[in-house]
Amino acid sequence: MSTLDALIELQDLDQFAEMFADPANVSRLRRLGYAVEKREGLERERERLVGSLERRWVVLYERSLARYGRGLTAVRARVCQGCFITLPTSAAPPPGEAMVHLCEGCARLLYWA
Amino acid sequence: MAIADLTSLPVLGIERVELRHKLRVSALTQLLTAASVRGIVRGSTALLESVQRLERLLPSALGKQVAVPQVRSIAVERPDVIVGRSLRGIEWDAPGGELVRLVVLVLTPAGMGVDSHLDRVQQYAHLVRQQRTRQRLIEGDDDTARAILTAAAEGR
Ligand SMILES: [Zn+2]
Repeated sequence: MSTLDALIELQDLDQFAEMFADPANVSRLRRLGYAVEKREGLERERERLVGSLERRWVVLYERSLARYGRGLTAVRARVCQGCFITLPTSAAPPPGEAMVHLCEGCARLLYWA
Repeated sequence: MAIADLTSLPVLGIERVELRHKLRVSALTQLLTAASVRGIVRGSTALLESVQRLERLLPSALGKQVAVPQVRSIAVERPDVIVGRSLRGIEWDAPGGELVRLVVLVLTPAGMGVDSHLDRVQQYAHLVRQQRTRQRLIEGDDDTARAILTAAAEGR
């Protein structure tokens, strides 16, 4: 698994956990017919994902999450969607590729594609 | 809401994917590949893993041969749904071993809030709960399926 894929998966899981943190959301899902009982595996899934990443990425992700409420932030048209500075062309990923990047403006961890 | 996103793509349109395989992972792969081809998601490897992980944590089979998997992710470019049908049924790990014939994959960008995401999930879960609609999505022709999905996206 690539670093970027693992970070995306980690953020997807954290967003899911955010949804589950609110009992009103859990009730809502239950009313829709979802079997909400299995969610105790959430921590274990997170530990496994964190364990698959190099320590430095985990530190940067957790720092972004604690500071901004989100571990990964998107880049659109070379602009960091967190602080809205324009990132240097020289740092951009090759066309059609994606990469993880640290924003020079806000130190958010960026998903740049 | 997915109104603009679904209806502003006349070339791609709203399509129903014919699910060819009997296994859940294959069906999800097919749906996410379709989403990637349509530019709804960026890549599909991480998303496939995420959707499968969420499936373990929140099984998406809602009964009546229907599953509504969902994910809110940075890899999703715009709010959209991909609908798949399987004429012979998919082994979805549903209660009682029921096969799933209709799958509505709800895709929401990470930037949208939890409430908006849940609104979208609810909208489509309610849609497929209606027996006649469900039946038409599974058994109807492509035009019928497209009309139903367009109306749902427009909130009609
Ligand atoms: Zn920034």
